[in-house]
Amino acid sequence: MREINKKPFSVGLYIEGLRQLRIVGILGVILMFGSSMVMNVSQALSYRRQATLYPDESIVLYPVDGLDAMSFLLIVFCAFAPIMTWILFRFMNKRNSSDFMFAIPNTRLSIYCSYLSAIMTWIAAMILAGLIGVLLPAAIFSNYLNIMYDTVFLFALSTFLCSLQVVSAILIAMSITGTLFSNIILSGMLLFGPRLLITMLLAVQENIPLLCNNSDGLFLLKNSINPITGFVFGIVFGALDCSTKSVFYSAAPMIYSAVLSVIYLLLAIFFFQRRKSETAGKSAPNPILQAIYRITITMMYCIAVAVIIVSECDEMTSEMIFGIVVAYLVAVALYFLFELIMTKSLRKMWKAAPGLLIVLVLNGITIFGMRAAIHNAYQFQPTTDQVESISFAQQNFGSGDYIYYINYVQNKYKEEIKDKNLISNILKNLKEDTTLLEDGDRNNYYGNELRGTYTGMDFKIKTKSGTRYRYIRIDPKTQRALMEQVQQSFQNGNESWRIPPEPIEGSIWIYNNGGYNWNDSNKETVLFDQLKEELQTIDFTDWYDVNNSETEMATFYFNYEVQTEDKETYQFNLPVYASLYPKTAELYNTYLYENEKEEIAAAKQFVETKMQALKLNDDYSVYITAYYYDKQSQSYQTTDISNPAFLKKIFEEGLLDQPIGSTDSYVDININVYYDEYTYDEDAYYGGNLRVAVKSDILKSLVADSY
Amino acid sequence: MILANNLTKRFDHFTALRSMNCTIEEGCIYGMVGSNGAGKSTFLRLLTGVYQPDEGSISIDGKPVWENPEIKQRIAYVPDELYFLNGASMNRMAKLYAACYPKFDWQYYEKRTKQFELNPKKSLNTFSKGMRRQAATILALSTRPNYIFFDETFDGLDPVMRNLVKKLICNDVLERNATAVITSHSLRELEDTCDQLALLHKGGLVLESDVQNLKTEQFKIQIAFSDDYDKSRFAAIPDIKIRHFSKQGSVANMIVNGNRDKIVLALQAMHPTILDVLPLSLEEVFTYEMEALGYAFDIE
Repeated sequence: MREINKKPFSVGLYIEGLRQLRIVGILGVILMFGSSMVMNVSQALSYRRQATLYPDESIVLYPVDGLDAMSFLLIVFCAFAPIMTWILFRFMNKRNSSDFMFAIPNTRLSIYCSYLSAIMTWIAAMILAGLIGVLLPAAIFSNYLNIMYDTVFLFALSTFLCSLQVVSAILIAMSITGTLFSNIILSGMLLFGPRLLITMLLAVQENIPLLCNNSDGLFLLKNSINPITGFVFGIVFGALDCSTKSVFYSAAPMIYSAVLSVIYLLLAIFFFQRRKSETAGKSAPNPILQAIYRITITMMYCIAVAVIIVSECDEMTSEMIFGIVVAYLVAVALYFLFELIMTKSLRKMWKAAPGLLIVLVLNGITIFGMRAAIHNAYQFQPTTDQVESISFAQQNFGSGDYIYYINYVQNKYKEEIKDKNLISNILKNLKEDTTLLEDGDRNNYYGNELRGTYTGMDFKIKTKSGTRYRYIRIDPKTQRALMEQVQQSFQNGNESWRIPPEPIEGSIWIYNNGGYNWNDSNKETVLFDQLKEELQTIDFTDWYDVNNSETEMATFYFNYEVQTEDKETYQFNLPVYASLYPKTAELYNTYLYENEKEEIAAAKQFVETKMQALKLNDDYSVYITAYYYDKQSQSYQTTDISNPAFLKKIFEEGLLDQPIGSTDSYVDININVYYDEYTYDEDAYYGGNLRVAVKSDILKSLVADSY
Repeated sequence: MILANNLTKRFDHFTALRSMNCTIEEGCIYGMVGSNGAGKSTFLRLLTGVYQPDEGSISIDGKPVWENPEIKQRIAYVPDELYFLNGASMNRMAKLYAACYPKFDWQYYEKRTKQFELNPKKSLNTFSKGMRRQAATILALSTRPNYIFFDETFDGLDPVMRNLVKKLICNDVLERNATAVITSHSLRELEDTCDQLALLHKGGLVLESDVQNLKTEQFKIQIAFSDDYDKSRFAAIPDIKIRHFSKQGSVANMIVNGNRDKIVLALQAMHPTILDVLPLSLEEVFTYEMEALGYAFDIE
């Protein structure tokens, strides 16, 4: 006979839990394995087919991260975790099952831990199945799959932690409530309520241009810190401040999720042990909790309305006032409807009416509280003497960001501004911004004739009484002074600007303003290495001036994905200027010329033969950007033309059969020949983008003629 | 031994059990009767550790039941509302029981299942109400408990099955000196099975007694005299307690408490024209006891 004591875990109950969940569990395992296998095998087969069809070309294996490789794993915490929790713990929702389970010879802690372990075992099995569905094809088709293994395992771990978070939140809800509807409502409130509240309150902040989001301590307030809300809000509301992927790969969200799960688990244990069997079938164990649910749900809706009121109160129109009144009437209806659904009693619904007074008071506190906070923010007007230093608020590049090299370099400037004159000018701009915003004069805040030249920047302002972050629109003179500081820093030994971030393998692609781009990983790598070499020899002032120039155009651009230490990825854009990187530009033009030979021949034939018979705009279109190199000014003059005769002349007389040189004139040509499914001919020419060197005198005459 | 001391349980503003005191000895079959809402099921749930008392205590063999697996493994509870896993068969439920109760006896389970002619592989959803109750009883008894608690178990059972289940309970009590507590709102169900009977009314224990004592200490007398008489004629008889006196014509019916032999001898000495001593059914005993206590209600 087995001994029963007060151990917190029962093997028998654990196995029983596994047994009860076996149908759902097996289904989940099959689904995860099958979906991962299918996705990765089909990807590999697709690349293999490409390799077979184009044996002379090197195939770019786009990196496959965890989410790409096992995207169905999202269903584990979105669906399987809640369903399995409900299956095992729904006994608490009915008197007979509740009595049965609380009568068995196990402590409540033992029931909780044993059943929880059974749920997490199946979840782990599903995740493992998904992993096998990735690793197996990766082993078989190693030449055709570029798996980012670190993100695969991180995503698996993240899924497990998210599942634990979901399960534990639902367990709290099921331990306190006794019907399916109330289980769902309270689970939702626990999982999403706090983040929804924060998102709405931050929406107020976003409507106050003064407040900048880059403060160090605000990372806990970002949706991306909580993977579950980050994922759901990102998909549903587009309220994510990073892409979906990074929430599952970064350390911070995982730690956050783990900590929150532990807190929820402990709370669930607390409530489960105190669970009264007689709560089964009731939405709440007592009228006070019932009132709390009712008021909380209504307030979550009302806060959204309050945010609108606070954000728009300076520009309230009669239509908006009407809309707000309607919104509050909806809140009242929601309040009563919730009570009716939960209690199924009209009498109880009407009895709940006095609670609306509490909702009213809470709304008042919320609105006045937010207004007070905003007013307080506007009061931050330190004097120059009170400010210890000002620096640029550092940006943490996150997934979904599109970063230009100039911004990347500016972010490397971490030094503090201590120059009193400069500080004084920055504070003057702050005062001007605040005055306009307090007066509700947003039009002039954003730009009148004078302020249209202002640029917004994020600052970290340190005073004796604390640090504040402000977004301040800076006048041109102060901007120049700030940039001089930045330049000085980089000239005095800070070499970090010479090191662009490393791309994720296989993610580089290059393009030019003419729309021509290609995907050849070997050439792209060679070009990038060449650029990095040249970067080591450039003077910072030259680099800065060219990158801020309004006249010089980039020869081409690198665009690639970068992964941060936190496994977030962002898009990075690096323009290549011929004056800064002559060797890289030259190499690019050589590659371009080689790539385009066939295209040019096809375009030439089209222009000389078929184009005459076609009607411009009806049958085809032509756009040409001409870059005429003026030897006197040593710069390019640009003209846009849409003229077939121009095009004809270029092909007949103007083409230079060579790569574009540093002093060559050239044109970007875009031809588009229209077709439909009945006229499409596989062998015909339908257009494309070209960049070709053209004789300067021909181009000059053509451009002059066109005017 | 089960000991309830000032046991009180409330649900919101309703007091289901009010300062209840009782002692149930080992090896006893204890019947508890009362109308709907009297507190019978609440008492059993407190006994099985489903509820925690709000005041007072309940213990089995000196140990509290609440959150005590050591005691709970010795308890089998068949409630009025049965519970089975969705779509489960008896065998599936047996696995659940075996997982929870270390003493689950598969041989006993299979033997009783055959005896009751139940198909253990069929879904319990296909069983009739009576068959489900039989299944629940078999599963509970298969855990070889020392304490067996049945809440209105005989409802829905046909007379043959009812007797079979009663026999099972009695066998267990005899074999293993188990203690059974059976609740019902029908005295007839409990009369021939229980040693002790208790009457619950509005959360309070109003009457508790040995069944034999109840039956023998109270009896009905039908008596007639040739001359006129009333109740006072019998006042002189020592130790007689007349619970109820009614007279129609010259024949009087009395419900009497006391020593039967002595009372009969004393009545014979009065030379009545008719003297009959009739046993009372438990129902009648309870009715008259309740009247004496000031309660008037009907038990079916």
